[in-house]
Amino acid sequence: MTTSPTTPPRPAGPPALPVDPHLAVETDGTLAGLLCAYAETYKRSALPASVGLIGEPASGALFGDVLRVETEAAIAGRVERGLERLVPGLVGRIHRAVLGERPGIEVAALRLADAVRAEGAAAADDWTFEPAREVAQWSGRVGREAHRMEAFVRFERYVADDAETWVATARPEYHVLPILHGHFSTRYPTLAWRIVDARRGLALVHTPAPERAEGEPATRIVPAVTLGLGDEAPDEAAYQRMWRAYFQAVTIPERRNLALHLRHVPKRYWPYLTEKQPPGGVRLDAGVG
Amino acid sequence: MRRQVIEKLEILADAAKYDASCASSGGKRENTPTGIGNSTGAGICHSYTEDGRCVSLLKVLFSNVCIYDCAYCVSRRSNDEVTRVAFTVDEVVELTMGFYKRNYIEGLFLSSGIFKDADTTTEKLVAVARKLREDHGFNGYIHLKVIPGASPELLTEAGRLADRLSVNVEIPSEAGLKEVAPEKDYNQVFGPMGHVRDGIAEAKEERRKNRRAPRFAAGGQSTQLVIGATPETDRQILELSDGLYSEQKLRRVYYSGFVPLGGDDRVPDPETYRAPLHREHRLYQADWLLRKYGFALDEVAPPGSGNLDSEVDPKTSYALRFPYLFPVDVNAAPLEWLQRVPGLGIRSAKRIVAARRRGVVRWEDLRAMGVVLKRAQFFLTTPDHRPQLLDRSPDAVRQRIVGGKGDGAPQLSLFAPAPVRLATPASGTAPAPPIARAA
Repeated sequence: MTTSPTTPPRPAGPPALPVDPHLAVETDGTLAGLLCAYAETYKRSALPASVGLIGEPASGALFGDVLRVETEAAIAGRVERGLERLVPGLVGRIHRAVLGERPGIEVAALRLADAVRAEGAAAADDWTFEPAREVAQWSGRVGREAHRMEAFVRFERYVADDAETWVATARPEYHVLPILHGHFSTRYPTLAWRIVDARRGLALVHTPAPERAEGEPATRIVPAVTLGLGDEAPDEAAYQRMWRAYFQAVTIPERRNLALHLRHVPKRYWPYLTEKQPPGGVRLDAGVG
Repeated sequence: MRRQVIEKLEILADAAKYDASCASSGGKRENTPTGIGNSTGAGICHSYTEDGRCVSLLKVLFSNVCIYDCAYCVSRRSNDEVTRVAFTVDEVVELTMGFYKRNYIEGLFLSSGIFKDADTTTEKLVAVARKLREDHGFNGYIHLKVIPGASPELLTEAGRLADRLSVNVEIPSEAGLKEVAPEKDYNQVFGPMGHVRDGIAEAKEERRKNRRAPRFAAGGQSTQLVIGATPETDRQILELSDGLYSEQKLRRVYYSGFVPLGGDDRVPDPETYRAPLHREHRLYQADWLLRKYGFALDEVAPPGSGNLDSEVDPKTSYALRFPYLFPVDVNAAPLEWLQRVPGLGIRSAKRIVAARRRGVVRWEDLRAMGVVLKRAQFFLTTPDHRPQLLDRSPDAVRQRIVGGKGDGAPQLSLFAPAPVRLATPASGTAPAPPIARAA
């Protein structure tokens, strides 16, 4: 950016910006893109009424301007640091909320960011302020789904040419792959594993350190169709049987409470849970969606 | 060999399932670049049993051979109905690693019947933990059960390897314990518990001086109390818990509603087990108030009060006993007071305080903040909500809460379901369990 850099946001700065009902912005759909959109709209002294994807027809502002935002890491970084200084954790909260893929959530995020800039940190946790509540609630929903994935993902061992791969398939409600890598990379740093999101046709793929090229990240998200599988490992079926046997054995029949069980493990997770497969071990959904 | 392991697994998991603890939280073990697993943060429930309990750890006995004859325990010596088996150290290690890599579990919770003596048994448990940590680079969660009477040296080693240690008190009074577990006494339980407590305190102190000093059971110590196998009241049980938290520095006390196992007439028979399940739920609520909400024991369960109110949760019961303390002004009361309002949790109380900084909190804001209005409506005020009923008649408030869908139904089903397979009707008032008959 050649013009003067955006002034770092400060509490009690200029008052919160109005939403311009005719302004629509387009970004690349990433968190960095959204942060850049904030820098861009701040320069124009108005927040957009809609945030869309570059190349996709905008819905909200047929009669107004469409502002195309180029993502620049330096700008995104500056906005992120400014927001984090005001409210630690706010950018993560916005990131999770946006991954909920809810129409309009980006506008709420921009309004929240702007309110925090204008009025200080207290705006971020004020649930009577709608954007703050919406972002917090969606962040909560996506965070819960991610936590459920950390719990319910089941790896199966595959072997091809003496190399083993641990493969899990899931169907998360929200786009949680981008926030799962940290948990699984720390937990299984030496294993080659992948988590397939069958709903979105994407996979989070982890490569253990010795097999990575210099500078290559530990995980990346790729289209699931490009991945091949080896053969199921010889001991895989036995472990699945043992897990099912264990699951049956720990239930106390006198205390059975299916309503409670379903609250904790809603049926939509069952097709991918080893313990919910029939004893023969045939998966209800073996493919990659 | 597999076939054999799967059969042992079924038997030894079945025998371990009455231990309520399955927590994998409180650990502080980070992974190494070449290791496997970690146990930091809040813990993860990887599945839930059909009775709705969390499955976080591979919870098994090493062996169900036991020289003791405790009436409440399925593995008791005199029970002829169970097949006696034992794992080998390698079998438990292999199962743990295989399950962990598949993301079935957070780690291992290993306990055992006392097949020879306390030390021989504990040695096996320690051997499993050592092999996992040292040979497999396993940094997941390990919870070891301390066998009453184990030697201090073994406990020290167990504490170094495990994230959590527990020794179960089981029966909430020593007299009750003698009645149903003739070989046990409180010394055997509190001796090791005290040793573990001191080990944890020492290791913390060492780590303050030196970041590299080894940890000792960083996830803390817990215990379990069996509810309804012996005649102690809720007040007596909570008194014990309160002491365990303050003196033994326990992280958690678990309550396990007694499920009769049949065939031993020192403990109540199958028709009476609904009451323990119901009490278990209320005891957990009360325990939570003691640990997290800043309530004192006497506020939750007044001296000599017998059992907790079975109709309403302990916080509502408290509010109805002290109606003159309510209603509380949402826009003025300190956080500690908001948390004492029935229907408000720690989170919703914090949200109210945060929103207050910028403006006035009104009635319609509360629902979005997660306040359970059904209950809270009688106990708080906003500029547009001024309840009168509590002043006029606390009993009417109770009727409204018990009769409505406010508390009873949904909350109750969370922990203490009406079990499906029983002919006897549920008793609404949870009478004290019958006195255990002497054998």
